[in-house]
Amino acid sequence: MEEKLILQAKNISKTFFSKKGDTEAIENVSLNVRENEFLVLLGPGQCGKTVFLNILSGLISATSGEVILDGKVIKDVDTRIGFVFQKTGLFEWKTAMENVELGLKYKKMPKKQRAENAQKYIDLVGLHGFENAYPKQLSGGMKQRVGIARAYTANPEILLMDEPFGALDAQTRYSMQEEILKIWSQEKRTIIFVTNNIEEAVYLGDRIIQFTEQPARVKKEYDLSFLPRPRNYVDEEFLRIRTEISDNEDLTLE
Amino acid sequence: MKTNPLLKNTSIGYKFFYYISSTFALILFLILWHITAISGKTMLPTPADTIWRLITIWGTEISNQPMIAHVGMSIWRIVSALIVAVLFGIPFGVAMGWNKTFRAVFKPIFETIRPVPPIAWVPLVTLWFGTGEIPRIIIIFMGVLMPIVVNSYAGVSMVPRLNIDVGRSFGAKSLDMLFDIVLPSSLGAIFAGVRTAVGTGWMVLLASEMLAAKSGIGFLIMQGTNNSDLELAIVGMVMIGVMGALFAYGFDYLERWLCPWKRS
Repeated sequence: MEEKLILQAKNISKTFFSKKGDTEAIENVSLNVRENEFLVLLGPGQCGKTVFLNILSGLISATSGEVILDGKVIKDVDTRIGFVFQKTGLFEWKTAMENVELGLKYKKMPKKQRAENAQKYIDLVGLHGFENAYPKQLSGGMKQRVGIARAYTANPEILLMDEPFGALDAQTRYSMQEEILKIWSQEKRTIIFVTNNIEEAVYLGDRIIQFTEQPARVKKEYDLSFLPRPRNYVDEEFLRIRTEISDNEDLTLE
Repeated sequence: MKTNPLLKNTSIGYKFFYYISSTFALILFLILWHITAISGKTMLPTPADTIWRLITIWGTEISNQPMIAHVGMSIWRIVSALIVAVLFGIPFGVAMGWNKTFRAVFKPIFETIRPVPPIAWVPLVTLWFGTGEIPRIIIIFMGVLMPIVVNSYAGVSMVPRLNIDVGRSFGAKSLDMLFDIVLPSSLGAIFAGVRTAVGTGWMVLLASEMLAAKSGIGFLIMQGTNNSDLELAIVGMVMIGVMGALFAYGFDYLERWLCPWKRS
């Protein structure tokens, strides 16, 4: 049975115009996103995958092509799409709790109600007891947990994650990968996760869409739904797919 | 920076060294001052005489006013100019950074007025408001307004793109964006502007009190000059230093109170 499509990108292209010349960042990318799947967009550094994610979110507009959410073309930012930023983008003047409440605050939800909602996700990401801490007092991994809780609390249909673990050390990164899958299995949402790390992509994704180097085009799609979870980084099948993707990856100097 | 390995920065020796060295520098300064004073080639009073004067001056009157009235007068002048400048300058600077139309209309005028030194306003302000306290405060106001406006404007226009993106993607409306994101993001810059303004304020205040006034710290310094009473002039200088330091601590305290997230 075909699963429900929640988001479609049709023939997205993006060119940045400047006096020094035009830069083509994305060339005719089309893809379909199924409801509640964990989709990974994988590509070499600077390939334009972050630009693509920003287009999906509505933060920047495409030069041509359209984004269709629940059957309707969207032209601007939409609160049905949540965003986890690579640099967390937490507000340093707000406590963890206030940061997590952000989306509900802008929806004008009463304070008591939004605190209840926020608390649920703070507990889910394992930050119970840190509600009143300021971002400055939190470690990198904890900050990104706040970022994830913030995106979830706004209750979007789709969560976009832009290399959310890119700035973390290897140890924290592994534990966060495990964590995000745990959260996703408890609170099913559609996740579109951008990374340049092949191992991370294979560990997380139901599907992986591999991009070429700039300008980004869809190079290949891998369906990993046959690979059981929890996955093992050193499992034979895991390593085979990892190598296959790696051999297919465009090499760039980052 | 290299430090003596014997002086590990956690050791008592380390703290003692820095404590001693700053005290030593102060003592050296006082000794040089004293030697210069007793050499008799200058009219400089000795440090001991000056300190004695600094203590006893609070029980005396200068030009029929107690010392506390002079100090109070200076503080009142600078604080009232600062309050008006903050109330007017921060909204003005923020509006200029936030709203394109406002910026297009007011920025050229502001940029033209900005480089005019506050003292250059004296003739015009005297013509309109005569002499007295109001024109003096207006001139100080012109001096302290500029850094406040400039920093508020810069703070608002340099809000990181990421913060704006976060706001947009979480559905912030225009007013949410201004009050919940842009203003807190630029609070540091605005504070820096007010700090700079206090420095400028003391300069303009002193200039105005030395030119024409019958009270205030600047008046004391002029009085000392006119009566060959260098002790009094130096006492005035010390008072400015003390007031400046108190203001700086006051602002640190205020900033920590207003920005709890900056406390470590």
